[in-house]
Parts: sequence; C-alpha cells; structure tokens
Amino acid sequence: MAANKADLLQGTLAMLILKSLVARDLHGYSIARWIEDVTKESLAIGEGSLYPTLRRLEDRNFVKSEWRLSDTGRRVRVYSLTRAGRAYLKNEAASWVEFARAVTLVLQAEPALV
Amino acid sequence: MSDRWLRYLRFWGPDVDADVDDEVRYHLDLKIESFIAQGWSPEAARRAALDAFGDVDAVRRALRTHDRRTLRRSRRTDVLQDLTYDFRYAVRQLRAAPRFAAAVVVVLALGIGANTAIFSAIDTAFFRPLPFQHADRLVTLAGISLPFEASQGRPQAAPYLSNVAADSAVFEQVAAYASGGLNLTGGAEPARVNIAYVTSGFFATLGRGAAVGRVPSNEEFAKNGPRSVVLSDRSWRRDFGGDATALGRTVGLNGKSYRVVGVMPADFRFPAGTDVWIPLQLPFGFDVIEAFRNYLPSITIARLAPGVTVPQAIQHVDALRRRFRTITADDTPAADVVKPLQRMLVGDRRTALLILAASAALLLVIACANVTNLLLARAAARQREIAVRVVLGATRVRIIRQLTVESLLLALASAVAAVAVALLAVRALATALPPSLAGVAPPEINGRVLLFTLAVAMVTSLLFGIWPALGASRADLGEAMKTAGAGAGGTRRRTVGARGLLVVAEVSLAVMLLVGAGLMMESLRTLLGTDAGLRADHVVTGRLVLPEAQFPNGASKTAFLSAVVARLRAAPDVTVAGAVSALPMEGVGGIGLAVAPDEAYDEAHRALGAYLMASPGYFATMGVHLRGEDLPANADTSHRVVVINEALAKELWPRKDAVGRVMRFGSERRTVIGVVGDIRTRRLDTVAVGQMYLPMSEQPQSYASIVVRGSAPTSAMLARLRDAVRAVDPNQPLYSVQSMLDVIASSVTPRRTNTVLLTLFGGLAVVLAAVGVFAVLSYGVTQRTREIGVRIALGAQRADVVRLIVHEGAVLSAVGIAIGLAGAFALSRFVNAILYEISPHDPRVFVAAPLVLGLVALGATLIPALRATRVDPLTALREE
Repeated sequence: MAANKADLLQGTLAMLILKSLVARDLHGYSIARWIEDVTKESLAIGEGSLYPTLRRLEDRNFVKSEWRLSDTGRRVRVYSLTRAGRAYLKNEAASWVEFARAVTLVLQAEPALV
Repeated sequence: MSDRWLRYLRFWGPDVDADVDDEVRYHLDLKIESFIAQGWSPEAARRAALDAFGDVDAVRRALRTHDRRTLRRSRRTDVLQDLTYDFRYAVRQLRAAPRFAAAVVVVLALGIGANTAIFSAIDTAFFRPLPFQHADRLVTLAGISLPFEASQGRPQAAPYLSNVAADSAVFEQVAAYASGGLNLTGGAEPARVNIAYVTSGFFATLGRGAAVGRVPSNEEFAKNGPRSVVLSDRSWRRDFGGDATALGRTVGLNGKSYRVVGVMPADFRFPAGTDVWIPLQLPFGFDVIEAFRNYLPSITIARLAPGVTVPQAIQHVDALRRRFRTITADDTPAADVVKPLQRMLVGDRRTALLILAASAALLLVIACANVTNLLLARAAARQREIAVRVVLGATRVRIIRQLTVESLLLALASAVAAVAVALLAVRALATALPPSLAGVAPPEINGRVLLFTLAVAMVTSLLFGIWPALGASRADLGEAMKTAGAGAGGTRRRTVGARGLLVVAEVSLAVMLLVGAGLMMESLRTLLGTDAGLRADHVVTGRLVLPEAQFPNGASKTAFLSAVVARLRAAPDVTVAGAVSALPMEGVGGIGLAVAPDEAYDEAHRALGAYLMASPGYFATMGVHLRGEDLPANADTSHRVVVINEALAKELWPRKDAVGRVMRFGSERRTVIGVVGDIRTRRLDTVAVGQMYLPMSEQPQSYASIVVRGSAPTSAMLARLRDAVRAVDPNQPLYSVQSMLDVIASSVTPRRTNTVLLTLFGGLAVVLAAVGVFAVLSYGVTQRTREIGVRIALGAQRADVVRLIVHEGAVLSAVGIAIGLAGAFALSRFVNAILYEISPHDPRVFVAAPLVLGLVALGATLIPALRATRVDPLTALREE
C-alpha cells in the first residue's frame, strides 16, 4: 500500500505543489510541510525531489521564484504561483476529480473485488 | 533590504552554485530544527533530516545543471532584449523628431548614394568579373595578326594567332575578333547591324555557349566551309521577333547568305554591341574587309593556362614577337603586350573613375560633418533627457550604445534611400565607363554594391555618431538637471568651438570639390569651344554602306553617291552637300601613309598623312577654308590630284605654298590642288595631324558618310537626307543620321559625364556646407539669445547685432575657404590627367570657386543674423 501511495504522489507531486501555492507564497520546506499536513504522510520519495519538480514548473512558467530574506536574516528562495500555473491547476484538478470519480465508480461496481 | 539583493543579483548575475547550496541547506536546517524541537538529539535529527530529503548530492547536482543552463539562456535573451529595446527606443526618439531624422536621412542618402553609384561603376571596372568563364584568366594580346589571303607566300610580318595557340603551356585558348558592321537582310527589315568576325576559339576562350541552338562548328570555321552566323539575344528579338524558327533560317549580310545556327544568351554581349557573330575563315580574304574600313581591326584574346601569370605570358609573347621583329617595327611596349581583358576594356578611363570615387568620398565626409553638427545640436537639446536616464541608473556605456544604435538606425535608413538614389543614377553612370566595357558588362546594383553601401553606412554612422555620443554621455548631470536653458558660458563656447571646426572642415572640403568641378567645367568648355576646324552648325550627316554584292565596282558606288548628293543639292533649302569616307570625330583618322615632297623624297622630309576620300562639296559643307581647288567629281587617272590640310602642308613644305606642288608616296605622285584647314578627325581632344583627301570617285569605298548643309531646321534637314537616299534606292539603310553638332557632342560624352558628376558633387558640397554654416550660426543665435537681448537693451543697433553674427560666420567661412584653397592647390595636380588644355591651377577657377562658396556662405550667415535682430530684449531676459 505504501508503494502505491508513493507512485500516486510522484505523479501528482506537481499538482500538490501548485495547490500548496494557491493561498500564499512558500519556500521549499514549507511546501513539503504543507503536503505532509494535507496527505497526512511524509513524501515517501524524499523531500529532495520537490526541488527538481519546482524547477520544471518554473521552466513551464507555472511558478516563479525570488530570493527574499527570512525573519532570521537568511536568504530564502520563495516560490509563488503564476497566472498560467493557476489556470493549469484549475484545469488539471477538474479532470483529476473527474478521473477519480470514474475510477471510484468502476471499483465500486458489482461484482465487488475479491 | 530585498531590493538591495535583487539589484545585486541583477548586476552581477546570480551565483548558481551558492544559490542551490543555500536553498538546500535552508531546507535541511529547518527540518533539523523541527526534529530537535520534537526532542531529538542534534545528531539524530541531522541524520533523520538527510534521510527524509533523499539523495542530497544528486538533487544538488541536478539543480545546479538545470540552473546553469537556464542562466546561460537568459543571458542570451538579455542581450537581444537590450538591443531590441535600444532599437525601439531609437525608433521612438527619431519619430518624435521627424524633421531632424528627415534632414539626416536626406543628407546621408545623397552622400552614400553618390558613393554607391560611383562604386557600381568602380565595381564593373575593377572588381566584378566579366560575364565569362574564368574571367580572371582572360587577357588581350597586342601585335598578333591573322593570315591574309593576299599575303600568303610572303614573309610573315608578325606572329599569327596560330603561333600563339601553339604555346599551349601558357595559353589554354586563343582567339581573335574584329568588330564591324554589315547590312542585314532576311530579318524583319533591312538593317545595319554590328557584326563581329570571330576565330574558331572565340566562344571556347570566353567559355560561353549559345542559349538556343549552337555556336559554329569547326567545319564552319574552316576555309570555304558552310557559312553560318550566331545572333545576339538583342538582334534575335529585334530583327527576328524572338522566334525559334529563326534557327536554320538563311539571312543576308551585305548580300551574302548565312545560316543562323544559334542565339547567344542575353548577358553575352562581347564585343560590346555585337548583333551577329560570324565565323572568320582563315586565311581571310578581301571580302571580309567589307565589314570594316580598309583593314581588319582584329583584337586577340586568350585564356591563360591555370597558374600562369601575366608577366610570364608577357615573356612568352615578347619572345614570339622578337622572332618577327626584323621584318616589322612593332612599337608596343613589352609591358602592354599582354593585359588583363578587363583592364583593356577599362582603358584610359581608370584615372577619371578614381577621381570620381575620391570626390564622392569627400562629399560623404562633408555629409558626415553636417550630420555630426545636427547630432551635436540635438545632443545639446537632449542633455536633460540623458541626464534623467543616468539618474535612473543607465550606465555611460549604455547611453553611448543607445545613441550609437540611433546613429546606426539613421545610417541604415539612409543606406536604403541611397540605394534608391543609386538605382536612378546607375544608367547614367554607364556613360562614365568606356562603351567597350559598359556594353559588355553594364554597371549594376549587385550584392557587392549593396554590401559596400551597408559597410559605408556602418562606418558613416560611427564617423558622425561617436563624437556626439561620447560628448552626450559625459553630460554634466547637475548642470543639465538644473537648467533647461543657456547653460554656463564655458560649455557653450566648447560646443560652438567643436561645431565651428566641423563647419570649417565642411567649407574647406566643399571648396576642394568645387575647384575640381570648376576645372572639369572649364576643360569641357575649352574643349567644346575648341575649333575642330569646321563649322558644325546647320550640318546633318548620315552613314551609308554600299555592299560589294550590290555595288561590285567603283563606278556603281560613285554613281549612287553622286545621285544622292545631286538630289540633295537640288533641294531648295540645301546650300551644299557632299560625301566623305569618314566623318570627323568618328574616331577614324584614316590610314596613315608616309608621304614626302616629290623634289625631296627622303627620310628627312617624310611626313605621315592620314588619307580620306571626299567628294567635291565636302569642304564647303563642313565650312572648312579651302585654298586652291576643290576635289574633282570625276577622277582623271592621268593627272592624280590631292587636297592636303595645313598641318601636312606645313610639314612637307614649311616655307613654301603647297598648292601646285607634287607630293609622292611610294611610286605614286599627286599634285596638291588645294590646302584645307585642319579638321580634328579622331576626337575633339586630339589635335589634327596631317591629312590628305583623295577624290572619292577614284577609289570609292563601301563606307561613306553623306553631309548636308542647309538653312532648314535640323529635323527637316534630317528628313531631307533620308528622303534623298530613299529616292535613289529604298533598300539602302541609312544609319547614324544626326546633326554634326551631335556627332561632336557624343565624342565628348565620357568627359561630359565626368564633368556633370563632379559638378553635381561640387554643387551638393556647397549646399551642405551652406547648411552647416547656417545650422551652427542659428544654434549660436539661440544659445546667445540672452546676450543679444542684453546688447539690444544696452542700445546696440540692428547693424551691430548683424555684424556680430556675420563676423562669426565670416571667420568660419574664411578659414574654411583658405584651407580649402590650399588643399585644392595641392590636390588638383591629380586631376591634371583628365583636364583639357587648362592648368590644374587655373586662376579663373581658383578665384571663382571661393567666390561662389563665400557668397553662398554669406547668404547662409545672413538668415540667422537677421533673426538675431528680431530678438526681443524683454522676452530674452525673462526667459532666464
């Protein structure tokens, strides 16, 4: 079951990141924490994998980043959602929900799984 | 604080590695802290954090690679973006100042356009390969002859083409051609066409074949082989309607029939103006001469073998010549024995072309000075704008770049306009080239010319743009921000000084160009005013050719010519008419013969006389003074007579009257029955040499020109001439029908083109210099409005104010004129080669040129001076 969950997360990591940035701008660590809170699980594939995914999102212009100073005076790279990212998320989320409902219906259909 | 970071980052570019490390470390540190907060030991917390992160090094590596790539990409787009920005900004700036932009573009377009146009001629003359294969290896050979039937069996007087061809290590291909004219029948209409007799290697030497059909075969070049011709594209279209059935058709040339075997491509026009190429069958016979005047004017061309240099070829040909030198004296200097074909075609026009190029370059320099002046004025007006940009963080380099892009944009816009100017001029420029070249390869605006224009535009933009840009970028911030107006006295004087210097340079260069133009104009005037020895007004001429086939003997030719002349004389408005073998200024002086007085027939008394054939009435028609008797209409074989010109008479009998004396050449004795004035027969700028006129009826030639003098207008006289020929024989084409004045004018066409161009350049230079004077003084008046206002307030009169400004203008102009005169004096010896009978230091020109410029400059000075008098002292003072 854990392995399946990991796959699921890997495939949807980008969506989770985008979702995490809807309300506010976050740095990498906070994004990881938010995902952990929401999914009630730590990222099984390693928190490090967040960053390459963030770069890919940045390349596609879904998120942008800038350096800010933290309260403690450290340089922090903060990510925020772009207009394009917001639109993409909205679109993807809708089709994801659609897909999930279809799968759920299939799984709940008779005869039930053994 | 974050702003400082951002600025810092933008300035130096991000440090990719540090950024990645910082980001990863921050993540791990927070994670460790959170574990510690949950009560873990620091060491365990650290390990757990690393665990949760995954492969730290792999992630770091991946991020670094990615970020480096992104950075590289963004740097590239940054540069492009900046340039695009500069470009857009420049466009905006120029659109905001349309009058300034238009002034610059017009001035530069004229300057660059002149250079583009001249370069297209220079390109044709020196750079563009002729439209032949391996054109760089094509040469002409001097002193090579062709075997003549009548001289077969006699000792060979000069190397033959075949002797040269035998030297195959040096010459890959050898051929000869001779340009002449024949009457074409079998086409749309009987026409006089330019023909070229060519030897068998002709087409192979040039490496060109027919566009339609083929070039003549070896069989057709062989003695008594089938007679064939190749048509030019022009003749094919004009005389045969561009019809493919022209191939294989039989056409007549002076009554002999030839089969058309091919049509050459449109760009093959060698020798210039050729309509029909005829294979020359060697050894050639008398019949061939019909297309020419008394001899075969053959020119030998060759393609050097790969790797053979011209000096090497000269050695070979010279050695060959030496083998025959015992028989004939060939006075061609060894260095001229082999010449690149292109150089031969350019001929003596080289100097004139280079002078034109230099003049065009000077004009461009003046244009640049003018534009620099405009830019300096604009830079002064833009001080505030630039200062604002500096305050907003633009670096000096950035400002210079911005202004340079603006200059470049102006130069490019000008280049486009310049090409348009050049396109208009390029046709006229063909006349600056010798017809032998322009006919083969007319000047054109090609890739190289466009590239040249672009390069000139770039260099120009640097020339006129860099100084104002450097000056503007140095602009004193505080000063500029503080005041929109006059500025401190110190800066003003500096800029006016610099601008004054430019005006001085402009004026001096304009004087130089004007002197050059003046010298050319004086030359042309002197030349056109030269007494050619005849009165050309009210004389019309036309050429006739009497083919051997129709006029097999002298009697028939004489009869025809007499009939035409008689018919003309009968016309009411014709005063007198006659015929001659070659018109003056036609470039044909006649064949030179060594003659001597009969009583002293020896080397010491020998003189060279060019002989021409004339009918009675010819001298009267030409308005030449004749002492003694005119030539007889019908030759008396028992009493041979001749009319000679003054030059020959003076040479033969320096102290005696020539009339009635006997002149001898070879075994032939002739009594001089008359002496006529000298006519310049070759060219207007070539002094007449000894001439002798024989009665035309004695040896009528196939060639003759009819001359008519009459009181009617030229057009009526021309019609009269055409009618007379048509009335005698409607099938005789009469050609080159024109007034004698036109004949003379066309003999000076190249000189006229040079003069017109130089005059144009000189005129433009004067206008530009005047604009320069005007601009700098106007600027001065604007800058000194306050000073002038104070002066007026203190009681200065109008005249005082005018004097103040005029003084400044006069000083600038005078210094410029003085420098220009000195420069012109030093440089004018270079144009000496193309002057005609005037000194390169002709005092009239050296007085007139500065006078013209001085007056124009004064005019340009007065406008701002008068404006200064209208300064209202109250307004001027309030403005501060």
